[in-house]
Amino acid sequence: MILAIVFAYLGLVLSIGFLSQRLNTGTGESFFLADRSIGSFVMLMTLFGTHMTSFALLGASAESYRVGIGVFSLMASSSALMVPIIFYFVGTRVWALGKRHGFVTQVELIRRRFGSDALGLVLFVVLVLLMIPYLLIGIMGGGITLNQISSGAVEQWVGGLLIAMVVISYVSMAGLRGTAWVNTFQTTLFMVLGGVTAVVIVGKLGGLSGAMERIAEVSPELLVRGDNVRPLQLLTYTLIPVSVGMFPHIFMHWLSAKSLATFKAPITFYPLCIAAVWVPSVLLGVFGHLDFPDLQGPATNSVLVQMIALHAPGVLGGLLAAGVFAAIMSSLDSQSLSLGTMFTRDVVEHYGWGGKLTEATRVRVGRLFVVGIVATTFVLSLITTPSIFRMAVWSFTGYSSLLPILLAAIFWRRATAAGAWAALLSVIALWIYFFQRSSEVPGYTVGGTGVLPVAVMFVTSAVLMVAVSLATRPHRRAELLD
Amino acid sequence: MRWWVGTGLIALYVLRLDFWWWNATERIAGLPLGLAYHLIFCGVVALFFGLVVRHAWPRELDRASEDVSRDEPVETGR
Repeated sequence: MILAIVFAYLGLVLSIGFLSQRLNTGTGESFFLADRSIGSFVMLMTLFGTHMTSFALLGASAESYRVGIGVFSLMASSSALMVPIIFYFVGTRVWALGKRHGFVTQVELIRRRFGSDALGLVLFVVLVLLMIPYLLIGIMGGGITLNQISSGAVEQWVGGLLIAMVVISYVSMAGLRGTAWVNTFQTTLFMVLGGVTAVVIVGKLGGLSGAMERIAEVSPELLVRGDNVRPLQLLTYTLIPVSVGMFPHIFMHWLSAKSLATFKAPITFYPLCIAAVWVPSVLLGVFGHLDFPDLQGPATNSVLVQMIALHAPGVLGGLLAAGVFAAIMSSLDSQSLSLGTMFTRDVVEHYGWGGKLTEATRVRVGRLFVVGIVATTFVLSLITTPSIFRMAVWSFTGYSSLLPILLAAIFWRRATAAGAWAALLSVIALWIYFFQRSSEVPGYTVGGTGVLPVAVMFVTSAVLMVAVSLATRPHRRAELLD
Repeated sequence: MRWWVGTGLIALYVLRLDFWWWNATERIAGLPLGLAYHLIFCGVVALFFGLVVRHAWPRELDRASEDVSRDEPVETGR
């Protein structure tokens, strides 16, 4: 029954993708940016669904299983504050520049602003590499979900393959318009079903008060932040969600907005959407101790799915599994499309391979890259360990630290290519250093103080951007900001 | 940026860092205080940005995007 519901859901997703494809005009702008025609509600839903990966459901419940309710203050409320700030200050300006100059990718904007091909190329490589763990989380999350919800009857790789094939189908068929439509449906679904999951499971655990009393008896440390979250962590974690400003897939969705007013709904309602998804996830993660008190290591990643399988078998279990699939695919589709767009625009077109592309060829190349990216991710997921979930934070750390480059590019006339180079190279060097340190010391913070590496990387990147720019001659490309 | 937007953002940033009831065990509407507070915080942020988009909307960007549409093609190909 569960599998039948999941398959029916996937069929529905493909139908929506097919319907939306009929509105595409066959041009590159139509395929990659939906003719810059996305309205307010779809923009809110697609931005939120794209930003919330399986990490928001599976990862958040796993983290709260380990750390307790402090996860919400650490990860959710920081996003509730920082994401609207980035949309308001950065998203609207990027949209205006993109509409005026015809940008489709971040690399096009940076390359044009600083007049440096090499800078664009290195940034392209960094953006793509940082995306890999992010993509893997989606494929592996799908595999884990189907495996657990079917009590091991369906192997993990089958779930991953299923998600990969469905995403390839509707993204390569319908481009950004299909992605946005499907995301709207999927985001609505996982928000509603996330709430239903919480109500059903908490009800079976004796209601909110009853479950809280039981947790207070067995694991009271999970109901306060205590030593599980350190004050400096709370302070510096604020910089993790600013990564939203550098995500290629978010950037692409910004550019697809119909008008500036399209941003009003995402800016206003984002904090409420965050609360609606994260509160159930965090509560269920904490309550997981009542049913599964001894989960260790990567096994904690599946605590939510195990609770669904235990408390909501049958039809409801199938619907809830579909909700988890929705959260996963609504990110994976935009990520793979954004990388396909970047390979097409920033490499194939920019470097003139195959000469001047016709509109039809441009779309065909974009489709091929989407297929290649998702297929490669699936193969990588077969040889990667589940600890990849921890990589999400490292992906966000890298993107956050690159943000000063974009901020300088769009707000500061005096910014120079040399400054951008210095910032970019510092991010690469510090990311490698801190990543190595964290693999040696679990739960690594800088000097054991609770300060997250992202704080050091962001500040270094920003300082170098400013200092080196001031020490070098300004670039004429500042006219881009006129 | 209007003064009240900047002031409001700083105030929200400070309010998020609720060190003052780090180990509080009280509950509000059945939720631990540390969780309930941040849930309310999300609502306050939404209200604040509702005011921002109403009274401090960057309309000049709308004009900027339309002044010169596609004034210069993006450099593709060498």
